[in-house]
Amino acid sequence: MSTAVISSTSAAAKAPGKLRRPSIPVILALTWLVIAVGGALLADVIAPFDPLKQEILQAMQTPTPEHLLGTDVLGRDVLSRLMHGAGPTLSSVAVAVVAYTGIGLVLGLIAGYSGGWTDRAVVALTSIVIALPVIMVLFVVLSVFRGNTWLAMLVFGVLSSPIMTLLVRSSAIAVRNELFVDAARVSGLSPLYIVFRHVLPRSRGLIIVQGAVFGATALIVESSLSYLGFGTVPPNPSWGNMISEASTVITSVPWLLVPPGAVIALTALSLGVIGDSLRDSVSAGWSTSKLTPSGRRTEAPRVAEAGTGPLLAVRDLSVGYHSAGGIVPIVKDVSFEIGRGETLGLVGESGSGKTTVAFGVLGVIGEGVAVTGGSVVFDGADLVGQSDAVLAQYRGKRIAYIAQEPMVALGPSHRVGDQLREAIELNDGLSGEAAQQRVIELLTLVELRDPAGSARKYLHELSGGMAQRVSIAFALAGRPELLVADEPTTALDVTVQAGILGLLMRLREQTGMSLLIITHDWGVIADVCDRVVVMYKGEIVEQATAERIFAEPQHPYTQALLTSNPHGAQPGQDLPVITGTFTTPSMERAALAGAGTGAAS
Amino acid sequence: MIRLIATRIAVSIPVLFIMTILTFLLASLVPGDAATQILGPDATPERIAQLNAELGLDRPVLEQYLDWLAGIFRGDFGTSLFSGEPVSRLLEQRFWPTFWLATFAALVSAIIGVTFGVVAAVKGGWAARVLDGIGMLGISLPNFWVALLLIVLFAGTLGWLPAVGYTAPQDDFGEFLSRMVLPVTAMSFAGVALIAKQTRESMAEALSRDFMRFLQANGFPRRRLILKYGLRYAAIPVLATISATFVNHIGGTVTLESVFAIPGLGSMVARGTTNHDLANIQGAVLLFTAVILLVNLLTDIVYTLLNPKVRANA
Repeated sequence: MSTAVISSTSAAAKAPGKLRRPSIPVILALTWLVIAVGGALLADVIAPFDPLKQEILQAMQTPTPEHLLGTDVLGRDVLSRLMHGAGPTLSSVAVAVVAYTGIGLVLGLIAGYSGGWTDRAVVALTSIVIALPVIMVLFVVLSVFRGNTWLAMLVFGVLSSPIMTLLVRSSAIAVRNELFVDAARVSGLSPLYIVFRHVLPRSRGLIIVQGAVFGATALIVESSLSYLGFGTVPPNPSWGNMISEASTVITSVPWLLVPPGAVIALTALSLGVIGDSLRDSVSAGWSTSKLTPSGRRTEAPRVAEAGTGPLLAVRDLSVGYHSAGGIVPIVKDVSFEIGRGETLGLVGESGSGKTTVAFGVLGVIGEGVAVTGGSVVFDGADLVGQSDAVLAQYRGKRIAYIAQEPMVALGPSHRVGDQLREAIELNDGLSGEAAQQRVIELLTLVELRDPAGSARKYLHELSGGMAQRVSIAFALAGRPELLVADEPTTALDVTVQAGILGLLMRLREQTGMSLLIITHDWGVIADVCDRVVVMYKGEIVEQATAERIFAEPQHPYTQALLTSNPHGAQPGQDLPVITGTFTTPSMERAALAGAGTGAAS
Repeated sequence: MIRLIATRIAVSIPVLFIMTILTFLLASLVPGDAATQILGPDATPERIAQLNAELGLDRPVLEQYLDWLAGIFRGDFGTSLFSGEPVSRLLEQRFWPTFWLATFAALVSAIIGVTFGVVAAVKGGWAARVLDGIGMLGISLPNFWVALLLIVLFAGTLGWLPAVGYTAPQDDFGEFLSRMVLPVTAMSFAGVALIAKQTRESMAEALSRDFMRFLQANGFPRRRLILKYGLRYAAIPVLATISATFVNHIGGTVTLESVFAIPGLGSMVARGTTNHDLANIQGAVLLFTAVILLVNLLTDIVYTLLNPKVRANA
């Protein structure tokens, strides 16, 4: 009586052809299943006693060397009864599983591979059968065909098969749309051959996972029926009716409940473990959280007087992620400053670590990544490792953020106006009517054409440019002193880019805030930045004023990056590309250190 | 929205009819007949024929079916073959115990399951692994066995709670609650496991979305992002699982009501199956089916309300 767990990443689509080496729990589970099935098959030979032989004088014993699992109410050997009871129990489970996977496989492959009206008919049929209360139908069947558990379990498998059908179907559809299947079809291979050769192997993982999990469910259902007296008829044993017999004496010998319950649980657990381990290897693994856990430091130490010095001073900031082989650095010893009212450009290729620097400044590097050294001093206070309570004074209020992808920046299930009002309430201390007015004010400020109408919309109803304007309004809600903009125009149409950039410049004039702009676009640097920091492989290779960097780039990498700028390209000539590798400061230091030790020896 | 509800109802009605036809078709296949069952093997053929005529069982199946169907529209579900009581009265009496059991179990499963799932998603690591273990156990333990162990421990050894039986809430509310504790606990095991697993998966996905970082960077507190934006994002699949759990619980009442001697629809089905009392089973199964369809309909409506994209199109 369980249901499949719904996953947004469809297990069906990712079913692998190859199965991984089994883990320890899986080996244990398989071992138990072998023992259970072996015991059932060999019950006649290896069971120590006749399961029906009563010895009233030895009734209701707890385990003894002679009766390893004790004796029941009538003095019958519990172990022997368990072994003999396994047969009827496991075989009716097998009937259900075969019906479930067999029907699901055939219908799913037919529907998924042929598509069209066949597909529609199968889907319509499954949607009706899925709506039937399966367990109830079983009781109707059992009330008519008394004691016929096999038939009941067959019906159970058949009526549950739509779940399997739909899963196989989506897996088959995924494969059908792949190129190699197209190629096979075009080259005239028969559909049957394609299904068996290409589609079926892809569904193998899925079949085992679903079959095992359904087997566990079927076992529980079978034991319930058996417990209620609709299965194997006493005195013949089944796991379920042994629990039923034990339940009559639970006050005097509760022990008798343990053996049959434990074997049912162990068997179901084993099937579940096998299914689950495969499912985990099928689905892509855990996505990492973008939410950053709270730091431990509860007080921001003042390293300098507030109000004097630069607004932001990043000193030797290093960021890395934890892996099996230790900490892998992403950003190494990055230092730069941003003055009040200044605009700093952080430029570099994708993967140069510039976005990670931005996240480090904002204190939102996410889970699994950590600042491994250095400081981020904002207005005299070091923010690295601070608790949420301390950072609450800065995030959104003094430092704000706009992201590269505006279409995924806000929550998808709340109206953008409601989220903006929340930001205002959190960061600007307004509430009620005043906050609502400020929503419209901010949306007007970012030059949205219909501020009130936009506020009522959901994110998916906005265009990219509109969404980025809303994001900017968001960031402005707390009247920040520093705005971190991570490639604010990259994801937008070229025609919209200029508008957003112009808006940012006008807002900078009006508010006097500082800007940290992450970009790979020299045009953006030329348009808006006072100073530039160039990053390469997680390190800063050069920083200078914007004018100087265009006029006299010092580092070879900066020169190469400037040359590859498509804005300066000549029509009719290939765009220059960056080739080769460049030395970074840490490599130079290492080379110097090597030379130093070499000289000393 | 209205179209969606209409579609759902359009699918539900055939399902109800299929269930009625199914029960009747199966009944017509019965080897032997109800009169023989009631009177026993020693009864004279005349007596059996007489009783069959009294019960209307000598008529063609189709005629009986249409009669029964017409009766349902008047609220008449026939008469119990064994007790002679009208089935509609039995259904009325037995509906509430089952309703309370299934509803409380769904509530408990939802509250504990969602809490576990959120904690595991947020904490990750060992918390998630422990939860996985509990989850596997939850769906592997037969609920009636858990129920018996609970009885041994809490009613027997500790003597804290009554072992079996049912008291209506209007008669003695305290007694009602104390008698509900064990059945609800036994029933919730699997539900908690399934809901927790789904919540963990959906919540982990919510936390991996870019908007989490954007909103956190712009001053939204972590707690609010998890409890408001995260739960909202995870709501649809989690609700689907809660609804499926409720439907599973309805199946589970048959066994658990028998264990705990609760006079509900579940034990009515179990006893009807033993006694071959088809009128009882037909009535109870039809009512169960209707409840399940209603729950599915409600779930669909809530989906639509939760999903702005669907809502806009409906």
